[in-house]
Amino acid sequence: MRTFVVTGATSGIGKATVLELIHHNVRVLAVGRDPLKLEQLVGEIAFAEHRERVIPILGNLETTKEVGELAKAIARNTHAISGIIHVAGTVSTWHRLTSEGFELQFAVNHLAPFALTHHLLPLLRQSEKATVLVVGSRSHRFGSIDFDDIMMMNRYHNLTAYARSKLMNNLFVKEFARRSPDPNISVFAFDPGLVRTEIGLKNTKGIESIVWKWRMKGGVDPSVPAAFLVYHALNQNADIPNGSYLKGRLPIRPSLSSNREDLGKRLWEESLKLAGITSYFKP
Amino acid sequence: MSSYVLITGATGGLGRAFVSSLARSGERLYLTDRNEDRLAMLGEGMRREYGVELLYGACDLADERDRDRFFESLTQSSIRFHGLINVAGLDSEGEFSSKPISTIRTLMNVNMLASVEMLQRVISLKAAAVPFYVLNVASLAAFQPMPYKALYAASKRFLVQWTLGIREELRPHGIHVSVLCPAGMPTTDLTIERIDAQGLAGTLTTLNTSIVVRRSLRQLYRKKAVIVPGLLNQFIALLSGWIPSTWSAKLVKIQWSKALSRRCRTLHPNE
Repeated sequence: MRTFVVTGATSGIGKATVLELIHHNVRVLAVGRDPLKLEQLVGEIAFAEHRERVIPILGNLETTKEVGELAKAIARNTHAISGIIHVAGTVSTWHRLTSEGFELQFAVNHLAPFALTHHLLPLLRQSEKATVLVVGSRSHRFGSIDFDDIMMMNRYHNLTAYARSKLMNNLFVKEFARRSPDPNISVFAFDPGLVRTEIGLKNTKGIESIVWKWRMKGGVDPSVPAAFLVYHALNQNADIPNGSYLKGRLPIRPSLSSNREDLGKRLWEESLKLAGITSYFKP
Repeated sequence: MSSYVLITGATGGLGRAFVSSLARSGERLYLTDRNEDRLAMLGEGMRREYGVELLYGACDLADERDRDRFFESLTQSSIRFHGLINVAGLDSEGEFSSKPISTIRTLMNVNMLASVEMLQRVISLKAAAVPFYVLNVASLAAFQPMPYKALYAASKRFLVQWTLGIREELRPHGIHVSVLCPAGMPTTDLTIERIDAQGLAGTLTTLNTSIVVRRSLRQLYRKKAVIVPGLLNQFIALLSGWIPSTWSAKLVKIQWSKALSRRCRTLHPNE
């Protein structure tokens, strides 16, 4: 039986993805940071045969140390994985630094999927075909990166930090595709469109929070992007080029910056340094 | 010989921002806080990000013996300093009558005694021939008596008064001392919840930690005595000087009760 890892599994798109995946006769390692919400997730699954195939894994994505521990927890539960769906993401009105001193959105939205994928490469290599999906956003089009101030000590705004982290997701999958020695591992960024989730309500306030609520009403149910994520995770459509930016079932063109090799290379090297990884493809 | 800036409370929200900002400008830092693992984690992150070498050592500032031990180890290592950022501080809200004595002791130990001892001992390890800068972190709470936070506010008031006194004493020795009085800092889920509970006033007085740090350091180097980041906060500080303390204490009590009921509503929405 194939095994998939889903991060951010206790709410929004992540939860919908878990609930969709279990209908496909696979095991799901559901990663969340709140034990209560993980319990609730399992409790919401109607059938025992499905429930048995969801393994809740407690893990935080804020620091590289925690990401390393999470990878170990995953490895204790499986010998091979057929895919990782990186859904976990965060926004924050206030400029917050993690315990390592890294900007929070950079750490959770970009560095965590970057490092977790690295740690799980040996397990991905055990599968004949494996897919890594990173949930991105259309807002990456407004993103830009100042490599002299990655932690945004000089200027921080929630939306610029978010857009930047989503641009980083695109740059990551493209650069991964360029560098990867593993033909059996495909990596994609996925644009979920506008979705009714609570990501924008958890850490925001004032006008931002009002705008987010208003925009949310126009969004689709999380089950819609979840269905596409599962389609890509299972289908492993060989026609889609590695490193693509997906929307719905098909690849679309991301922003021009997403394709810039110089940015991809620079971000890759910075990420290696900050995550404390010496050789990405030799974990 | 190269010298260091000592930062207490380094792994907390404001401490991290000072560490990050100073590391970014190439300062050599010596970090301290209660937990060794957290110090190691921050130190490692800063080393990766800015390529700086950081030293750190854990110290429980609430414990007199641990403070002594910490300073003995500093003295023996023959490290010299050219700065001190005194961030470590504790907050305690709630009714005075029901506060455990241990909480009271710890708060007064960390906020007042530790700050005083720290400064005296660190300047004894002052590097030669360079100016020495000290920043004590107080709070906007220092400007008025605060019911339900009375000890905290008074301990911060102590820091302000004390800073202004020793500032003149130490000036001839090339040691410059400032005190920082920021509003609430949005660094953890708990503090953000507290700021939210204050409603509009909370949002308006709150600044991003990195902005507070940037402005504080700039004004510290300009040798400003009392640093209050944010125009509205400066106005509040000014106003507090004009209003009789007995009145502002009453005002704070009203404000506090409102915030408390709002916070209870968000915690128990059905009641």
